[in-house]
Amino acid sequence: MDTGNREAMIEVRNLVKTYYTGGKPFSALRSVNFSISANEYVGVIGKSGAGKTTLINMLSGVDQITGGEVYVNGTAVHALGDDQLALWRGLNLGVVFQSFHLLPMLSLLDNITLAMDFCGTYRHGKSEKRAMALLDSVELADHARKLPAQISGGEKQRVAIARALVNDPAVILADEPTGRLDSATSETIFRIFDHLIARGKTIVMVSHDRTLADRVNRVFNLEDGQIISNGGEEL
Amino acid sequence: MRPRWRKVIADWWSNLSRFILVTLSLMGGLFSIGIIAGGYVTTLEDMESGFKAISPSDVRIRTEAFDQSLIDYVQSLEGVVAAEGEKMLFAQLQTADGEWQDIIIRVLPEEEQQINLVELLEGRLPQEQEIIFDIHRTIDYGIGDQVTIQTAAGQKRQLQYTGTVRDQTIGTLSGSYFVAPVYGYIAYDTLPWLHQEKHYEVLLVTVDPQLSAEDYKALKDDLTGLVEQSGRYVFTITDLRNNDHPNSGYVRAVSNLLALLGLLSVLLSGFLVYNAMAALLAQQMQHIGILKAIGARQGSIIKMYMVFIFVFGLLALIVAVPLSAWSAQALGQFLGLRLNFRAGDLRLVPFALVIQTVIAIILPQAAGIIPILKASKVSVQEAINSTGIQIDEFGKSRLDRRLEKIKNIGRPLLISLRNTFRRKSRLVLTLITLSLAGAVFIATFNVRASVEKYIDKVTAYILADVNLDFDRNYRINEIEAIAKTIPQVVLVEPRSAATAQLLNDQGEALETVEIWGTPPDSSTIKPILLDGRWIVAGDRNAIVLNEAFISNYPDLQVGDIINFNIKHREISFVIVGFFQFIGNDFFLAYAPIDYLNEVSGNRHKAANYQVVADVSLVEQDREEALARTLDETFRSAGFSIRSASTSKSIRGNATLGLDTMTFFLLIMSGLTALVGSISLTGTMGMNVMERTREIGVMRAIGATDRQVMKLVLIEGVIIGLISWFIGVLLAFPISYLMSYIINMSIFGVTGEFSITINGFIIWLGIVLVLSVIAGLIPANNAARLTIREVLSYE
Amino acid sequence: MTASLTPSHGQGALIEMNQVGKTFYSASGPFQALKDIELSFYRGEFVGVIGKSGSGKSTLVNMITGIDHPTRGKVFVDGIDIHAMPESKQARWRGRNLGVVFQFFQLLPMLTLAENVLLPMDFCNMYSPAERPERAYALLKMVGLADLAHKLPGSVSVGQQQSAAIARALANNPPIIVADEPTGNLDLKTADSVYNRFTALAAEGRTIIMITHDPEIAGRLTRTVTLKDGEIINQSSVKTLTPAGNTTNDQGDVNR
Repeated sequence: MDTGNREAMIEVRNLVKTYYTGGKPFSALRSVNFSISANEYVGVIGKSGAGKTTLINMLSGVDQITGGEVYVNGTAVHALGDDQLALWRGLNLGVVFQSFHLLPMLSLLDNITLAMDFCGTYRHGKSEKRAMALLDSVELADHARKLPAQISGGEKQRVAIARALVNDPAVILADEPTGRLDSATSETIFRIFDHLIARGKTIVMVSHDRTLADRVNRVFNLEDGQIISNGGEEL
Repeated sequence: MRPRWRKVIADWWSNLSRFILVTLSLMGGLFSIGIIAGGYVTTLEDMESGFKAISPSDVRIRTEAFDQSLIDYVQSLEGVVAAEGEKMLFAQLQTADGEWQDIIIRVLPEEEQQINLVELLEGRLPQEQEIIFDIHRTIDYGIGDQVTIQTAAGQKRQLQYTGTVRDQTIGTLSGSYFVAPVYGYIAYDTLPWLHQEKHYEVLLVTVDPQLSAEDYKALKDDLTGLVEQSGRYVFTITDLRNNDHPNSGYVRAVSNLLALLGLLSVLLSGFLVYNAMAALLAQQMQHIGILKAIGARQGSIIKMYMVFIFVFGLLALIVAVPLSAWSAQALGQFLGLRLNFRAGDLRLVPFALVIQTVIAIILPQAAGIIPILKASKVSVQEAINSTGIQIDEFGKSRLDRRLEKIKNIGRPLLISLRNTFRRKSRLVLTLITLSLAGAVFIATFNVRASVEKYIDKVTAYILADVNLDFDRNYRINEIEAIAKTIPQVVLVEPRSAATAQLLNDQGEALETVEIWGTPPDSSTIKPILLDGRWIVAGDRNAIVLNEAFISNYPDLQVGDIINFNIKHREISFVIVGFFQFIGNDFFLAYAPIDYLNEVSGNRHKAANYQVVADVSLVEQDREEALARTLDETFRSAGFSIRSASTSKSIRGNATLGLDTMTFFLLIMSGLTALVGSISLTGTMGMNVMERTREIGVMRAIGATDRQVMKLVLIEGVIIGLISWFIGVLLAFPISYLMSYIINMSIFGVTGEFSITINGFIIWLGIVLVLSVIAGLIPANNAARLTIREVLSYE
Repeated sequence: MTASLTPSHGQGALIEMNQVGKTFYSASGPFQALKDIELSFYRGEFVGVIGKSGSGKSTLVNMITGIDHPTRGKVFVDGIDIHAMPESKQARWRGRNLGVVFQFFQLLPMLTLAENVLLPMDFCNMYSPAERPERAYALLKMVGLADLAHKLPGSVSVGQQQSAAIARALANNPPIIVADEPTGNLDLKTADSVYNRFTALAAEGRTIIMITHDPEIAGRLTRTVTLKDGEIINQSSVKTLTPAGNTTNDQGDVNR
């Protein structure tokens, strides 16, 4: 079985995504190729509509791939079924969204343990302990029993990051994680990501903010569904 | 607890009011099914077992006076279990305000009762000069009171009221239980006190239940022969073997109709579960996306929501089962009182329990699975980013394209019209409940019209103002002369009756036929002729037959000769016509009174007279006054009068029974209308909730609150009108079915079918009002939404 | 409608925001979305309100459209205090004076493009019923959708949907057009044509206020207002596209 480039943590070949609205095709991604090594910090920068969210959705497998191949940590993502994808995603990926996506009816602690529940990774008693440790790592242990509505946006995003880390994934995908936060809060979030890089994680972050370029190791500039410049690598 | 179940509980908690509503409605559905299934089973069981327990007579022979010796003899016959004598007196009971009301007095046998047992409820059985009453009619007196009875001959006698009984045979013989008069019971020894001979006139027999049909028929013939050989004339012989409780037909009819209502409420609760789940899932789309994004598989999501739904069913079931069992018992008690049977104790009916459980477990899951499957299949991407107006299915079906062609009605109306058809499955479900409700409502009116038409037919044969019934035959001249002394009386027409046996060519008896003698060209009968003509002047041995002859002996034609056995003589008649009376199972004929009297040995005599009064006597109370005057006149002249009643009161009695039924039907259709409007409100609420964003857009481009409200209201009215239209179509078969059931159970005949415009129009009014009301709350909510709430994406 | 001169800022602002502030209250405490904004807009301007999500740019525009109410301060449009109007009156006023273009187009899916354009005229009772279809058709023709007038939104491309949405925004010939990230879901070429359309509309004397998070389009605008954390942090100087004295036939005048 072809597992792609063994060196690469993420390998994308001829990735194509086409949407059909009103029967007319719209190419969100047109033949994208790249490869990301372990522990790289990659920023995907582009305007709205450039296809950057589509790209990250292809990597996480939350949207159907129209054509091409995506390998993440040795797994052929394009070949997985819906249920396999869900489990694989839960175990191998940490996904962070622009609008946090915490479940409003569950406490912060439960939001984190829920992810372990679905993947069956930790026994119930242990999962709570681990969730507390993760909350502690984003300095929110004191708020563990609160509901998401009771904390600020920046705090929500920290919980979302803690949740993304439950199963200790090698790869973290973040879609505009600071898009809804003010400048000061954004800084805290970026520091957490820096810390994760220091711990050896691979991070792909999407943003329309050009200043992201200064924070990451490598930048992919996306425009009209194509990578127009790819920091450091030949296209 | 695993966090996923904590989410399920939290979802329950945060949508509490909606889910309490759904659980309640499900409970309502289960409850009504439970009470209907349970009530039906227990009531019929109780009726059957209770009726068996009173040893109802299998054969009833009305003959001339006899005593215990005949009974003893009959008792010794093989196959006879018990035999007993009975006598019925037609008398009047004085009410507290001095009026007289009809009463039938059953004379209890001298020996201990063995057949048609009366069940003592209160007090004690009557001894000499005492009387007890059946509970079905309330009278003005209590146990211990003295009551005054006026016999047919006019003697007034005091009797002591000592007890109350239940007599389940009331309504077995004639007419209906509901229109039966007061029943009283006296001891055999009280007969002389009422100036009556001590003898029996009716022989009641119960037979061995193992007896085959042939042996039974042979036994019946033996009994008849035996009575005739003793020198007595047999007036009627009635076969009551295999008869149910006289009112079991009502229970069956009522249950059939209730079952329809139960079905409706189950349908509605399923619909509400579906609606609630669809709404919840639409609202939780993002959550489902998140769950999937963090590793939940489709199976786990389906399981979570299915468990969520299971809670509805379980909760509803736990409450509904005991509640419905208890209510079924209460209903049984109530019906027992109304329908004259003894209701049993509280019990769980396995049949009802199984139905309830199946519905509670299966229905919500079945209703919920569609939106759950749909939601669980949505890709994470779509689920998380569900924003903007959903470009939905509108425009795909042929209906939509047809709707697109409707253009020249102004955009706002266009929006309402097209919105109506956007959620087709939801629309269909709403229409089903609302249309059925409408159809039942409309049918109620048609059923009433049908039954009224039937009553009209019956009363076409008693057009006179007052119907005079004597206890025996009197000379016609004499009665006429006395009646005419009352100035208002214009015409007195005699009627005589004879019981006859229809004979075949070999001279064997086929049927018992009641032949009425009437003067030719009678003005008090407006016959509905099916063939031939009525009795006219110059007819001698002419006879007109009712439809029972046509359906049982289709070969009979006008002009045929037909033979009867009347008072042991074979008499021939010529058939001159056929008329329609009230049913197929009752043989009736009319013949010229003079000829009939001649052959039955009652020349110039009759027991029944039809009195026609001055045309100015149109009001009922004046007719009543005339009836009273006639009654008093004849009684004081020493005639033995049974009753003097106005035709209108006869009609009124029949209508009374009908009113009970109509009232019940109206309640039922009211309930279905309520069910329908709840579902319409639910639909409108869902529609508005889904379109909040569109409503926000419309307000952003200049629509005022009123315009938005109007859009929603018109949509509701469109749905209401469509349902009305479908309801109208459905009303025809449902009316027919309900008329059939009601006629069958009240009169035991297929009866008539009639349609009245009233139901259609009234329902149109109601449905319009309901749809406006149903739209009002959602429309108000829609108008209240601020644009910011509507357009904010998070 | 009387044709009037397109006023420059010298003749007074069309929209004036006086010390407008907005605070949201939530379980996590009060949040100041706008901090005492002092801002004016003039006829013929094509203004971009720029800022990240959460900077307060949508809230600012909601204050102008009347979609949301300020906690403090007043907003005058052509001299009228719009937040003093009752909500039902506001709806009619908004329909006649503001054309709103949304990021997700928000065409009503059960109506054809032409019917969508007709709707604001029906709601606000503008133009005679006989005139309305002609006007709708003319507007669709202007945005290049004449052939698709009788299609449902679901059966045309997103770019065409946005063009139809712009035609709808122009239905009542409003002097002000507010657009919330109108190109957010469009590809570059389509987005470009939308900008051109707005430039042309501003040249007619209309005021275009566009929310965007893309600072790169600044070159296409007459002015940019940059927001951060509820405050104006940067504002270029006012200039209008239409020279004073230039009259056009189809230009917005405030509808009363």
